Amino acid sequence: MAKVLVVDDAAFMRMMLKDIVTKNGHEVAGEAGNGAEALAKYQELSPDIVTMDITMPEVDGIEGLKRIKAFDGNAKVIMCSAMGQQNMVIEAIQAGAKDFIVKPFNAERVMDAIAKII
Amino acid sequence: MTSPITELLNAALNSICELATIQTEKPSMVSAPILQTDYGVLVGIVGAIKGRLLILGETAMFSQAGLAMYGMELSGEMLESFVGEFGNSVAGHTATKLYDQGVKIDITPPTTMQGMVKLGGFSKAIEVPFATSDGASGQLVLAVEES
Repeated sequence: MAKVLVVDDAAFMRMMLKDIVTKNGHEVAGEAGNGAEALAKYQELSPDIVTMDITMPEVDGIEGLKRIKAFDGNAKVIMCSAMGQQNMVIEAIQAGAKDFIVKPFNAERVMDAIAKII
Repeated sequence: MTSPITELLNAALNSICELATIQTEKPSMVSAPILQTDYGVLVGIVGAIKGRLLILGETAMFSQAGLAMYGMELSGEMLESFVGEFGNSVAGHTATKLYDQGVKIDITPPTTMQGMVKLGGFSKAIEVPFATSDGASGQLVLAVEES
């Protein structure tokens, strides 16, 4: 069982991801609404996996990813965004993301991504 | 050469039609204030094209979009949250389609609106009415700034 930190500014998306994660035997350790909150929650909760939206207010998901990776180089972050263009995917992977899921997603895609990195 | 607003319009219409099962009507220039009845979402567009993407619609339209995208009918606070996510998804997919055509844009986080709102101040804006298969209606509005 993995502890997952869900980062998205939309409560609806956090609910969807929480539902998928818990129904598949994992635990949602916490939730955050932007990249800055994500780092604070990461430091507090030490999750095994982070799902990270990109377009969020104040601190976006790419910056949130970079801050988490700077804190913990072994952090496992899965980007989860409606922005699926190649340059965005490459930037995320170069910054250390383990996978990139384009919204709208289904449960299988999310669970595949988690299964690959735990 | 295709104009920026045409490129943006085509990409946005393709995106919204892919994400939600809707039928679009003929685009027209916006000449009067736009009236929102139930919900709306506004996303800013920056980069090679600068402007705003606005999606307005009845509660039933957004609820059916949620059903089409995530397999569940939404209401209350989750529907309100989904309205923003719907705008983010349409704008995000629009950005991806434009990138594939060599046009790089970025989008802002969505701003959601609820209730009766009269929106004005649109110059050079295009409005496209649309409806779901169940007849719930909405409008997609694109406003592009001259560069």
